[in-house]
Amino acid sequence: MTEPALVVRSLCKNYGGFAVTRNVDLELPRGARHALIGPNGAGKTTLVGLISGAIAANSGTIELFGRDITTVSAAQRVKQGLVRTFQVNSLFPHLSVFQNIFLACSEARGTSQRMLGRTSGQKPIIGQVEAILDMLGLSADAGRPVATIAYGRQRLVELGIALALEPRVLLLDEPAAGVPSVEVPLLIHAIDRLGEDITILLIEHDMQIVQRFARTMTVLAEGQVIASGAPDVVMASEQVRSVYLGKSGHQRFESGKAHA
Amino acid sequence: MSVDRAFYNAAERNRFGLLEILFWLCPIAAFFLFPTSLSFATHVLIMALFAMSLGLILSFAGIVTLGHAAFFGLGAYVTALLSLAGYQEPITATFLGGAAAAVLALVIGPLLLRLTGLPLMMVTLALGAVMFEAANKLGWLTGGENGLGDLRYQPVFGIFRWSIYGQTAYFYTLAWLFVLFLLTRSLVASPFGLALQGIRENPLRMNLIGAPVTGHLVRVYTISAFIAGIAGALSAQATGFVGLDVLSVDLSINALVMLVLGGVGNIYGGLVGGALYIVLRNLASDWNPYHWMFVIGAFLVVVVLLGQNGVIGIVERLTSLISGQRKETSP
Amino acid sequence: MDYLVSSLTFIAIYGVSYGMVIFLISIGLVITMGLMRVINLAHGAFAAIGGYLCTALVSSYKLNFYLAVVVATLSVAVLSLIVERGIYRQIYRKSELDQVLLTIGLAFITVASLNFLFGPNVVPSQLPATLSGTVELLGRDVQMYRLFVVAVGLAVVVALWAIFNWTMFGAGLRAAVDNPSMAQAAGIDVSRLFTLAFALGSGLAALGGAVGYGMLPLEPLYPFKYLIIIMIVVALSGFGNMRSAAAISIAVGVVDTAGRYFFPTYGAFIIYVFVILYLLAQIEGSPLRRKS
Repeated sequence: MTEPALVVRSLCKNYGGFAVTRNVDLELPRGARHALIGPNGAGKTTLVGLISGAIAANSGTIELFGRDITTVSAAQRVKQGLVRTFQVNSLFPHLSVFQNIFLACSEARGTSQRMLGRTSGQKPIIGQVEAILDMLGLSADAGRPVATIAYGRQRLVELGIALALEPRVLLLDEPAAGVPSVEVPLLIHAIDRLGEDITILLIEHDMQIVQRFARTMTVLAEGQVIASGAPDVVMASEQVRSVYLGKSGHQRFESGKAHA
Repeated sequence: MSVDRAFYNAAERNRFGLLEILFWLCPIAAFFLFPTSLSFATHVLIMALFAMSLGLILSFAGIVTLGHAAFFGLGAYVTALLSLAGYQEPITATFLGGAAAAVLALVIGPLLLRLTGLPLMMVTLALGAVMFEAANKLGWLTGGENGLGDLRYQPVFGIFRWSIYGQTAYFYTLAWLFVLFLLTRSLVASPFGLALQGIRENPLRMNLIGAPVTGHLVRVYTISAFIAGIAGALSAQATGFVGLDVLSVDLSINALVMLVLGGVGNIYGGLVGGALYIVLRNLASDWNPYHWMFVIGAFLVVVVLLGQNGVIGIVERLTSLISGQRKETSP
Repeated sequence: MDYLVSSLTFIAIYGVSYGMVIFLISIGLVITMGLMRVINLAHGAFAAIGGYLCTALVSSYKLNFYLAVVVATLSVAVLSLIVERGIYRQIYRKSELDQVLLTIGLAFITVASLNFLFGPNVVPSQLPATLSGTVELLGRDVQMYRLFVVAVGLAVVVALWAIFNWTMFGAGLRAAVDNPSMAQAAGIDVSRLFTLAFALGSGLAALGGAVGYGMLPLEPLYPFKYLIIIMIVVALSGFGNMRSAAAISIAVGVVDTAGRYFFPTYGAFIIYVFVILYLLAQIEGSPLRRKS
């Protein structure tokens, strides 16, 4: 019963002869708050793609709560509780914020098959959608088409869709990318409030967010794991400093913000 | 203070308000106003039903097809052949016409609906052409170019005879139209209807939230084919005749034009557009058909370039204008 | 044996010449779809206009046929420049449905106008008498006309190949088909390139309409009648792939001719069935899909 939430073993991905993911091992215990960092081109988004099933791995295995899901489709992984967000918004632009979240709630609970009965009559789901909107501070925008709200708020809708899918393991691919700095606290607050029953893997550039969020972290460089463990240990590692941060990055790291 | 239901699903904005009741009084009024043109009026209803079936998949699920006449035609031929084989109970005959079309959709849908865009249009166009050619060549079954005539059906409920004045055919068609309209209306307002709109907006993301995209599409495609098949069956019963034109590519394209004329995105688009198209076409029946084609062509170009959404779009703009003014004048 | 050889000769010559005409009227759409992903159901209208123009020049102005073909081709190319700048430009960013509707509308307008100007019937052929002669080839009398069409088609294939490989225009076009935004970033004026490609493609369609008369007779409904065959080539070629467009056109011409030759009653189906199966085989997860 205590098997880890997510285990990745010896995962490899090549494009042509070019290896973008090399023998990656990753283990997330239940309730983990794990950050994945690394410079641009380190293969972070590829790794998320592999874990979520959007990209097929060349070799290696992925286990979700002890079950091998290496060959399971992306849609089926979602049904099993492995949910990701996207670095670039992929929403339903002409539908309202409410409807965007509703679609995900409805799909997760099998209500989307229901041909009889109005959407407005689905009280339990509407309640859940409203709770998510409330938690993310989106209630005021609920009736507006997603295409008409600010980009930062669209990022919250992206997160809302992921939460609506009842994730057990949540992969957050740079949730703060493109969010204006005034709205970042709202996002961080929302992530902070996620229950301990959700295991989270966060990919993020902003070291402030990482330091606040992560209890453990992994550093990826050129497709390989170069360090993994508690943040202070990892950050103290000479290898991380030299490979990931470089000389100029060193100063920025010291000042609390890393360039990726 | 009632919550606007369109908040939950835009397709719920149709409630039986004044406008909707007035709309459905029109076919009743037409019965009394044009008692001598009932067969034409029946044709209007049938085309409205057919255009509505196309609107269901196009407006709500984003399926652009150029071969919808295949279902209309199949429904018509099946019902006609049933009559010639001696099976003349009208209601089940109509239903079987629709069911045959639904079965065809259920068979081809799972493969077809993985396609989108040009390849989908291409395959639906080719399938439509194959069906037409097949009906043309299988003369022993379909009568080829001569069609199948002199179709007879028993009285509806054993009471209402199919008279030459067409009262029975008219009300029989109207009843089917209204029932199928209610079905469509509740379908698009359901969570399933909203899921279809999600697929229309972003099929890739729908797949990634775990939705069975092809499954959803096959379901709505089958229902739409059923309705189209019913429309075809009704045309066979109302006219007592089925010809090759029920399968023609023209009919598929005309259905698209009707939908655009009425307005895309609302179930009334097909109903209004289908009826309006047939009435206008009839008013221009003295014209050279090519002149009619010119008018339709120019209409399509103007609609797209000006970004208008048919009659429904204009009505919506007018009503929002009126209600907007009312809000301004009220204290 | 003799029968077989003569049948095959017939199918080869007639199929290939038919394929060449299909190639001429489709290639423009293959290129423009590759560039802009715009669905243009009115492409056949340019072929019809070219054919009608050529015929009218010969019959009313007593122009030499070959000269008329050139004049018609160039005129349609110029006309298409205007239509592209005036109308098509508006729909590149619109939905698929809008593109379908607008281009069907343009095709309707063309059909109605051709009927208004030239009447509803098939217009009489203006192919010169020299082309109606025959030569014997492998035990079969073959029309000069067929050989002429094959020659024109081959000349166009060679010319296109040269343009694509040796000119700046061709290099830009290849880059833009590969990746439009990258080409734009590299300093290629994609919009101007597209206008030129559109004119080139429409001109070739007009050429096909003019020399293809013997196989695709001119009538007002021409733009719709041959729409399916054009779309088949586009759908099977993949966007912007010229080489496969040529191969597919010839294959379609030969398969269709062979089908009609050996199975006169049901031959017309063979090409549709072929296309439907081919397209369905392309689908991810389809049981028809080859294991790769």
